[in-house]
Amino acid sequence: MRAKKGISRRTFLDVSLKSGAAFALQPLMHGFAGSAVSESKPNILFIITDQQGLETLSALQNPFVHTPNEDRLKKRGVTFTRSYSVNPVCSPARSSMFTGRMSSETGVVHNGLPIRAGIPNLGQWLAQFGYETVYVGKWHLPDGYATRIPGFKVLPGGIYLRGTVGDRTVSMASEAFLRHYEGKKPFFMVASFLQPHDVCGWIRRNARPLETWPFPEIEAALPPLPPNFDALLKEAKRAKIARMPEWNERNWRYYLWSYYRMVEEADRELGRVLDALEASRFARNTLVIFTSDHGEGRARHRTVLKNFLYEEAVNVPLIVSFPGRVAENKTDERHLVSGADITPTVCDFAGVPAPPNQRGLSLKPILTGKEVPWREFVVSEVMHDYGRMIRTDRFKLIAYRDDPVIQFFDLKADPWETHNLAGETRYAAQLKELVRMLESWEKRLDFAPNALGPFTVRM
Amino acid sequence: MAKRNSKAWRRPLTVHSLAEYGGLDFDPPQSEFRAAGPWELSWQIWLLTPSKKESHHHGFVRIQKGALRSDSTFLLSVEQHIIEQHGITRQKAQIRCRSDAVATPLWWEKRFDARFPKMNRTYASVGFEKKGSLSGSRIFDGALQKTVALPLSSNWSLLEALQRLAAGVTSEMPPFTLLDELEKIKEEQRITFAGRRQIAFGTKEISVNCYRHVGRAMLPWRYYFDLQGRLLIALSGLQALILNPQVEEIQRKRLKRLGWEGFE
Repeated sequence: MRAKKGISRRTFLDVSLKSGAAFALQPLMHGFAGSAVSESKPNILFIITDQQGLETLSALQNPFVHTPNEDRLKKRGVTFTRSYSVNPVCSPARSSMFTGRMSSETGVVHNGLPIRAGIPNLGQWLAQFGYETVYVGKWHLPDGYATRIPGFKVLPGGIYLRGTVGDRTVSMASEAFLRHYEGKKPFFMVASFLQPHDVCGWIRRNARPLETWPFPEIEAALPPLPPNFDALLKEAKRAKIARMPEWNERNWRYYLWSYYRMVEEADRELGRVLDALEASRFARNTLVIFTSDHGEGRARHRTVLKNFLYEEAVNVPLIVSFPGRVAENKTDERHLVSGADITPTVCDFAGVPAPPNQRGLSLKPILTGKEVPWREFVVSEVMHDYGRMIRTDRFKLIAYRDDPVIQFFDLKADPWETHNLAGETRYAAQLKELVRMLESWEKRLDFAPNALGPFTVRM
Repeated sequence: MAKRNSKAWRRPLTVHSLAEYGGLDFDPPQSEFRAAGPWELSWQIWLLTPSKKESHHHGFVRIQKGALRSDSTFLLSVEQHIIEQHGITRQKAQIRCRSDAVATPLWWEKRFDARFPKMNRTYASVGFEKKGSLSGSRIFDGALQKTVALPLSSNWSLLEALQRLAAGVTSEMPPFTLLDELEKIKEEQRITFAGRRQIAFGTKEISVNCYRHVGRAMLPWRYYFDLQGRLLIALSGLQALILNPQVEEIQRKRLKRLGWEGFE
């Protein structure tokens, strides 16, 4: 219906409310109706971005990006800087976040697969314990944007591969829920944004060498190349890491600048959800968890995209806030944490047991200031179950099945992963210890039929 | 799985490539236009698609500018419909703007609706209404207050301000803050004149004035105005706005093909 010229404010609202029964507001509230919210169990808001590596927050001292909303969340909670994706690819990483299992166990060893039957997702699990479980945005297990997700009530929003437009609805639908939810149950809501994943399309569209700056006014603001830009190491054949050999320095820096704009775009959508939460009556009783499924190459090792095991692809932001119950403005640089920790952490705060065979650990003790024994290492998987990474406090091993090329880094001395120490005899004992840890870990997993079974390192 | 639209997905979106994809297969409006006066224009929301089978048409935005009042303000009425993966979203807004270089939004009302025919019934529809205003450098957004760096524009009122700029009604646009969708603050926005050039649009070769727009939290935009100041095309990343008086008819046909009639 076309608005009439010279319409007044009051008339606008009247016309809006009367125009088109399909959009009348009252029916929109159906399903939100109810009475008071449970005081005993917290609400949980889980916010996911897609393809956002660590160090892409301005609050983490990155001067080339401005993320006031993620910074706001950081100020209100605990930020883990040693946070690792279980598998730096969309579907596998998400399968782990929502189950607490490794991707080789969920069966989601590459994009577009469903979670293996018999393994419950967080929605299914929490719903049986009385939670209102709501999902908005990208799912990708297997459908990118699903109309039905087991265990969840799905709110509309999103466009496949076009986060710049579709994420707007994800944040507005989330806002609508937070404004209107009046149910008796506590809620577990997932707001899953696609940005900065649009960088995938950007890279394809901008594959040709740049002769001139397309936007001269940004030249002074272009980020520099990272210190490990030229660290091109020997890699396993199966690693198949995406690089842009035709790009010149201008391309690379324009790519970084553009990626950060997409990170900021995700930040502003996230901010809309945080604003809605802040303005709601749920603000004081809602646990907020923010993370990303995996990182982005960002010119480190001359890489773009993901699906490999260098830090730029596996190290992701993880921030948890809960007013009065979780420390504020704290950065945890000590504990090794994993995307598999999301499920046990959510269950712990919800006061319900975690699903069986969890590979993750609840972060609640750390978040509430308790000293607890913690894991010695984290493991990430990749490339159709062919690749593995294990990292400890200091060392990191990358290996692929049946491939003699092993990468071994001392992250304390070489955080940019520029020197492969695998061939150096002085590190033989440490390398052997990581192999032992990894192979021991693998023996405990319950592999999905389409996975390749326990990983062994070919030395 | 639809066949990948590899050609379209593998080069930057430009006026030239937009024409090649069929986005400009009609003649641009030739009627008289006064950027300073009341007007009503509709732009198609056009997106690059990853598959050849998918339509580029993803909705429209219609903006109606009211007459200038004695207090140097005018009213913008906005309606924006977007076709998403599984349904339609709609934003309606009324914005009282100051008639300055950036069309500063002074107060606004906004309504958001989303309808998704295939969704689980419980939440197949969501929506909200909200009001906001600007006082000094403070934005009042419901219960929230935020401080912004002035001057402030909005994604919709900016199009009005740009048309006055392109028509020569105003001479410059200072750096500004963008209030995107009247909610999201995007700082450090800058507009630069990029010269006059000829472009092919439908069967015509026309002169356009070009502007570039860079800022936080968005990929840069390029704008193309006819010599009366009317915004013909805007491009950013994978999206375009194309001035098209027939866009609502295109929308109706698309919804019919999708089986979503009645949702407009």
